[in-house]
Amino acid sequence: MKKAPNFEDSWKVEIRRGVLQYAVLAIVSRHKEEGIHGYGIARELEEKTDGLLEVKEGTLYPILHRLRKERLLNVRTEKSETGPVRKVYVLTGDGDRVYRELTVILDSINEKLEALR
Amino acid sequence: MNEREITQTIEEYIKNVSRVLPSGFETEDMLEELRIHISEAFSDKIQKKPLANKIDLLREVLNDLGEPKEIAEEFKRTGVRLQEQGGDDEKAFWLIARFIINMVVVVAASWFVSNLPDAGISFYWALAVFLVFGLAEWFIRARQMREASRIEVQN
Repeated sequence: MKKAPNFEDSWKVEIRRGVLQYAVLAIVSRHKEEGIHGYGIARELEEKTDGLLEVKEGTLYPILHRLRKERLLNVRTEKSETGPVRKVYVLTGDGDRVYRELTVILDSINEKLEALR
Repeated sequence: MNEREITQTIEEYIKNVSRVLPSGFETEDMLEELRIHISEAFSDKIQKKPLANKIDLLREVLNDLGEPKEIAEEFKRTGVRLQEQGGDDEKAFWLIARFIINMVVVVAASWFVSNLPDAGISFYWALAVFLVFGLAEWFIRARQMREASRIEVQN
């Protein structure tokens, strides 16, 4: 029988989900000029966070599609090192604005939480 | 493990993902991205561990990607809507277009049937009968479309 996740595990899942979309925007924002492809985003997410977010890489693609639909990301294509044409994501003007706003909100949340400790 | 087996394993994974996702243009797009991701991650791993067993490396890549149902859950959770499902305007257009096509078919069929040798039925009788069938079909279709929209919104 499947064991129900404990409080700590459910909390971590919820936090991760909320943070992931922001993390993707942050990574794309770091590659403003040249853009970054899906696999590159997965690699950076793993390396820069030491796997803290425990992301299954396949779940990044629905998020990337969502961010495109919201017009926060644009896509252009380029030939990958292994041959096939891959999508390269870049931040739109709206994406840049939203990313900056979310950064301010997150900083503010961190600051207030720090005061609570 | 030869190249053919590697390709088969990748395609099997992609097929399993496609089975749990709704069909549509965006899903195809995403599956293509997954395929490219696997190919890049796999060649990356081979470069880093040239002596390792290729199938183990491929399993690592697929494990990093996650179970197909995990991808499907994220797809559902992020609310990615299918482009081909279109908006309300598009749905209304197709509903009206289907009604008009139905009526054209009803008139043509009535004319054809009433002109058959020994048909024994006038154009207007045939028209009345086909009209009933046509309208019933149109109402059932309209109801199915509304039901599909309701399920889509719930998801």
